[in-house]
Order: sequence, then C-alpha cells, then structure tokens
Amino acid sequence: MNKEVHELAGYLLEGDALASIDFLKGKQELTTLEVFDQLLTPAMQYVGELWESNKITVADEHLATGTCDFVLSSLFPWQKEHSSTNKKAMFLCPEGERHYLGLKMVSSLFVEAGWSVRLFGSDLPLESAWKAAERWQPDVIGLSVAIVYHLPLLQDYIQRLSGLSSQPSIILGGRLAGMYDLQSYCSEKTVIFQDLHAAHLWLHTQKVEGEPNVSL
Amino acid sequence: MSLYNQPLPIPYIQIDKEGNILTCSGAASRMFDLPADNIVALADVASKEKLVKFIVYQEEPCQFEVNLRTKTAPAQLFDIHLSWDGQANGHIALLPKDQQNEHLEERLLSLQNRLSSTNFELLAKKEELERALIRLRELSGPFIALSPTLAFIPLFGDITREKMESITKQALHTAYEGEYTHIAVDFTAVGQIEEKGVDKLLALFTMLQYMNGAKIEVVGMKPQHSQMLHSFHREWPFAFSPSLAYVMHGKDK
Repeated sequence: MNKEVHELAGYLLEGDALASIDFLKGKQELTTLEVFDQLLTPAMQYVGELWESNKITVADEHLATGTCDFVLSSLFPWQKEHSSTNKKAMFLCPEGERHYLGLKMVSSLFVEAGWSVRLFGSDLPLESAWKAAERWQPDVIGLSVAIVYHLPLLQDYIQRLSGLSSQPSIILGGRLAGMYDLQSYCSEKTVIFQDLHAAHLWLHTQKVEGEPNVSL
Repeated sequence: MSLYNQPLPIPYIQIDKEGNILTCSGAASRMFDLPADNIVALADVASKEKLVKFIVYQEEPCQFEVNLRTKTAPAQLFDIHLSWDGQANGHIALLPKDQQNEHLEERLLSLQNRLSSTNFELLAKKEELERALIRLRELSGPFIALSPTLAFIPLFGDITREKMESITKQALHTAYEGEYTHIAVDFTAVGQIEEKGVDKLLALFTMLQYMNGAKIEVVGMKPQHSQMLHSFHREWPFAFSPSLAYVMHGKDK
C-alpha cells in the first residue's frame, strides 16, 4: 500500500473533503480510471482494513464514505441527460444494499464514454427500479452488490429487469463480483464486471462496435 | 452449552480459546440463534476474520466492533468486550451498536439523497431555462405580414448570433410562403449589437432578398446603433427609413 493512498485515506477519515479534492487535483496526469483504481478504491479498501484491525470504528468508515461520495460528486460528472452516443445506462443497488461508491465510479466512466447516465444509488426497491427503467428505456442497467445476504434478492432484480420492454443488457459489479463467481445468480446474458478495468474494457469494446460510420 | 444463571442485563457469552460457546446469558439467547457451537458461526462473513483474529491471537482484554447475525437481522453491529480468566475462558459482553450509528447513517443517507435530487432538480431547471431562452429568442423577431406585399420584422433586445439564428429560420420559412416586395426591419427596441449578430442579420437580409427579390428597409435606427454598426465596417446595401409609417406611406405613393 503506497504512501499516497494512506494520505488520501487520512483526509477521507477526517472528513476533509477540500483536502481530498486538492490532493486529487494535484494528480492531473492520471486518467479518471487511474484515479478511481489507484487512489480512491485502494484508499477506501485501506479504511476497511483499518476497521478490521480495530484502528477505527464503523462511524469513522461512514464519515470516510460520505466524504468520498462528496469528492466523487465534486470532481467527476456521474449523471448526464443527453449524450452524443444516444446510449442510456442506469445504475442502482438492490434494496438494503448501501455500498454504492463503486457504482458511482462506474457511472462516471460511462458518462466519460459519452453515455446518458442516471445513477439511482443505494437501496432502490425493485418495483421503483422497474418503473424507472420502463419509463426511461435504458440500453444498460448496472447493479452492484457488496453484501452476501443480498445475493438472493439480486436474482429477482436480474430476472425482472431482464424482462423489460427495452431488453437492456444487465451488468453486475461490486465487491462480491470481484471475490466470487456470481454466474449462478445471473442470467446467461448478464455481464459481470470484476473490477473497474473490466468496466473500462467493456466500454471501449462498445465504442468500437457502436462507432457511427462517419462516411455515411 | 449451559445458560448462565445470573440475571445479567446485557448479552454475555463465555467461550474457550477456540471460540466454542460454553455458556450464555438469557439476554444473549434471546438475541442470537443459539445454540451455535462456535461464536464465529454468529459472525457476518465480512467480520469472521476479525473475530477469529481477536479471539485466537489476543491475550489482553480488548474491545472491538463486529457484525453479528441476530434473530432479527442478518448483520448487526456490536461492540465486543472480551477478557480471559486463568482457565483460558473468554468472557464476552456484546453491546449492540446500531442504534448509536443509526442517527449518523440516516443523516448521511439524507445528505446523499439531497445531493442526488438537487442535481436532478438543477438539471431539470437548466433544461427548462434553455427551452425558455430559445423560445424567447424566436419571439424577439416575429415576422409579421402587414399586407400581401409588405412584411414587418420588429427586433427586440440585443442582436446576438444565437438570437439571429433563431429568427432566421422562422423568417425564411414565413417569407417563403408569401410574396413580399417590401420587408421593414425595425430597430426601435434593439439594445446592444454584437458583431457576430450583425453578420447573421446581414446574411438573413441577403437570403430574404434572394428569395423574394424584396426590398429590405431598416427603420427605427438610433444614433447609438449607427455608431455600433459603423464600427464593424460592414457593407449595408439596404435602404434606411426613419419609421415604419414612412415606409408604408412611401409604398402607397
């Protein structure tokens, strides 16, 4: 774990959003993916490790999460209504699931790739998700899970949302997707993002496949 | 496993060094699905490692947080107070902590929700304003047919590129449908004039002339307008008249 990650985690744990933002603004040479993957994600993982070794409490973790959320909102666009590519993606966590930071980072990667994005964040009941998706007709619905006992619920979400009239691609990510093989909770068509790199790669592939033909 | 027969007011569990539960208080048996053989079986997946670490490797009295499965919740946060006696029996007091954090969690959640809903509200307002602005521009240069051959375009507000682009579309469309020989453009209600706005306005005049062969007459020009227009050094191959009445009178003659 490098020094910079520890420094950033320190700011997040102090709830010092301004110091965190200044710190990241000093990393202009990094891409959005690199900031997420090399700084913010490891910093939050380090916060988790500090809890495991009894150095901090859950209350400290909450403060770090809230600060990280604020920093993400301030520096990286995470929602967009009209896109250049005409592709739409919505992101949500199933009911009860409150770990949404990774979801928000993926939303930002989609915005950066030119998609229209709606981020519904944590704890969205299936009925609300279904209605929102039926109205907005997204091409992609991204789900995120971090807690094992939310997995049975996840199956319901994937099954129900796969049946939407817009027939969206369902993408699954989150902490558990990187730890276990979640294929048995998914449909055949579900794409699993094990980490942010997988999301980046998928977006890149989509871009190549969906690139409009300029000669037309 | 036996039930601890003292009426302790808090959940209490006694374990051996491997974490096997030896005895528990009435409060603990009401809170947890006992008898579980081992205390680690009560831990949430993400807390197991931490619990094992503190039970197996920690000799000194200690206090730490873990998430445990209770009868009512799949994971609930507890403060564990643990100390060992001379027979290597671990005495554990378990204090539920969620209520303490609940307030904090709710505050954070409401802040997150506010952040996200504010963003949506702002976005909706922004779009509404943009639509209103476009409409405002379109209405700032209406194309009015005064007679089958005479049209009138009163311009309102500042002459900007965006506004002239909005007006051009509408003016060309209406002019195309009529047969106007004279088009009077009124500057009476014009404020500031931008150079790029003037370029677009001149382009509109030229297009109207090409389409209808109409004579364009600029009316209501004020001294400050002529000074601004002069500073842009453009050619003005159009007639200037003092007022609309003058144009109408001249045309009637």
